[in-house]
Amino acid sequence: MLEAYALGAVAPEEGAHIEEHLGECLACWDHLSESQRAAALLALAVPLEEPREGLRQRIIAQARRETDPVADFTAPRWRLRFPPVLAVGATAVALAAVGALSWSLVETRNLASDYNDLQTQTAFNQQRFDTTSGLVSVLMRPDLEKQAMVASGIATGATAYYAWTRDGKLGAVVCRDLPDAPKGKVYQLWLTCGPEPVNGGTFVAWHGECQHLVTLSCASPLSGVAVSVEPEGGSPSPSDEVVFSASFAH
Amino acid sequence: MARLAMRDIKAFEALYDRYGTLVYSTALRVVGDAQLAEDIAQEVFLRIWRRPDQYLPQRGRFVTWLLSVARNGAVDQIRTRGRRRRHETAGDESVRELPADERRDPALMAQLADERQKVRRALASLPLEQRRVIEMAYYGGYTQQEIAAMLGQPLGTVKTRIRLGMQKLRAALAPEVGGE
Repeated sequence: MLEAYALGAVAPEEGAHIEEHLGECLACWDHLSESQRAAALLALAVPLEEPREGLRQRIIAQARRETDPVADFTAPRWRLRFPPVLAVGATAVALAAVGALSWSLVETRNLASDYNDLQTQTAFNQQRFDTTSGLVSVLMRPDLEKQAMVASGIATGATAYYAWTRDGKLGAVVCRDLPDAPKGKVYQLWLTCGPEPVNGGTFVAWHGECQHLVTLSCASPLSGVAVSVEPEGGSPSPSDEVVFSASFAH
Repeated sequence: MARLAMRDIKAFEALYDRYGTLVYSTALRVVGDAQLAEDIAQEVFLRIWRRPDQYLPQRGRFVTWLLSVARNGAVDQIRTRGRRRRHETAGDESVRELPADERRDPALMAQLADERQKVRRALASLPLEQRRVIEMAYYGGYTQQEIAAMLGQPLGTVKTRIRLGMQKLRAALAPEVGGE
């Protein structure tokens, strides 16, 4: 069955069973990993067809546009009238001035951008460190229980489990091969321990992986968890776009 | 990849020159539609340009990761659009390689050509019924249940063929599989 899973040829419900089993079987992970590598090689066997030359230009042009918004600027519509000699001189001066100004603006923009990137990266790294530290402290607990979650939608092919402490106070979602949420969206955890789903916080995929900790304050026993795709900042109630779910028997 | 992370457009151009044909051909093999295959190839390359950190070396070689992204994107497209091409096995098709081109890395192209030969030989060495179900699953994006229905075979038979075929492929490609 792992061979079919590696080829992406299992139905969603079969995939869920396999993922559940994978959560408890390290040898199966190795077997699956080798099968996936063999499956990935199959793409090398396709007959070669040259795309049209226009495709290269289209892709490179789009990449350039996404790199440098300045490349998108359009020429100004106004034009000043100068005698030819003056025009050349004025043009040279103007170009030099524009060049210097542009360089200065670009450099300033780059520095500001670098600074912002560094700030964002530092905050993100700190957050990841905190999450990982918290996660380790949860996963090392002797009273830990865990259950595989069923993947669906854009997470099909990803694996995840929900782990929780028996005292019901701490929980964590851990996943692998999770694609990034669509632009402007995040993943949000939902806990079912009453009539309405309880918000368990938002998180993002990082290099295909996720680790999200939650502190529970449920009055009733937890009967299920789910992860959905929501707009950045989270939603007050889950959307229809559920990507992971699990229910617990009591 | 480090140069891509630094937004080096020349590195991106070189990446396309090396792998553009393979990525496009992979998508085309799945969707059977040149325009759609071009759109998929464009999305694959731009995805790398936007997020070069999505590729993790510890998960395998870049080329197989890249082609998996192309294949999965193509399968998603045909599943979404409900469009299917006929998935014949590629038995007697001539083995064409990329033409010499100064933009391409000759050593890399030679290595890829060698690997392509090995994978094609490994596929060709499978019994026809095993090869057919594997090709339908991988290039067609069909599930075992769909394959069983299309071939009019019991589901158990299809599962066995996939399992045995993949085991043989793994054995035949052991150096490539283990060497990643």
